Amino acid sequence: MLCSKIKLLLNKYIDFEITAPEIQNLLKAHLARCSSCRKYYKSLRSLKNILAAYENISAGADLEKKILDQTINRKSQFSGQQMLFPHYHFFSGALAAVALIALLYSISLFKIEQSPIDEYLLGKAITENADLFNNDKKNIIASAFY
Amino acid sequence: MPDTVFLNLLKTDKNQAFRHLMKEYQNRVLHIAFPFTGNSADAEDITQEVFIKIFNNIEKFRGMSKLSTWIYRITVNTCKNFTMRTKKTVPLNCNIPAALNISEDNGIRDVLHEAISRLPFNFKSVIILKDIEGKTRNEISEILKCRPGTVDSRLFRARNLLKKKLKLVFRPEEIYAMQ
Repeated sequence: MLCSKIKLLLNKYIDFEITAPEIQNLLKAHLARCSSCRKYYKSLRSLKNILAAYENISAGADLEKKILDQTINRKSQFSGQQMLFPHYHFFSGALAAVALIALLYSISLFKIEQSPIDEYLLGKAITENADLFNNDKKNIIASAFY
Repeated sequence: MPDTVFLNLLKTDKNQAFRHLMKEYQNRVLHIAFPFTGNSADAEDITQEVFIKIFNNIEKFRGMSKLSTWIYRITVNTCKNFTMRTKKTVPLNCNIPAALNISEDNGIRDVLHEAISRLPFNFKSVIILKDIEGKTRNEISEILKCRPGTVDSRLFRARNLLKKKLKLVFRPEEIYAMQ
């Protein structure tokens, strides 16, 4: 096997991620006769030792509180505002309903205002062009508008 | 707490589930964020950001992957965003000896920080997850959403690069003394 492939396997071997005994034996046999790979393995072991000596930090005393303030407690605060104004949602819903009714009413008024004009124009057309009206109603209505 | 128990708790009491998760993973998230950033203040900021994301999306966790994998993935992505925001990563072909700021007072941690912080993001993430956090290759491939073969090659190259950097700082006898 090529040394480049052996070196890749040695990276797994040093992490205890090669469990097959035949591959382990193959690597051991290769290391016994290849000084380059032996040197590589030694340097890899040293690196693992250095990284194992890595000291990490501990969380600060207030980190947990900071997180809670921005998550659970923040939501609770929002709930608290709802507690102060418990009917807020009811009022906003009622306001929307009133606005909708007013809008519908104004539309209906507009339609009501239109209808007498239509009737007037239509009546005028009937009296002035009674004969024609009998013949072609659509033309009379059109002439009343234009 | 097993993931299934956590999921049941999540269904009944979200806040309690989150508190439990925070207690269990707070230090683990911090331990990933710290080598990424190199300073404790930034690491704590990232940890906060991670838990806010977790809290806002906790209902989306359905147990399709391990809870730890899900949390680590969020952490690595948040660290990636942080790196992109701050642009602290130095290109691979940088002048390593001149770039390392090592004084006699620096401990191993400072030296390692300096060396790890100068790795490209993909190399840094595999080194941190494998050699500092002790995750398996399969777990890392799930966290980073890449193939195990990709993890292998990244780890191989990352270790080679890191060795080169550290060789300039530590004498062989110092390294052997750590064994």
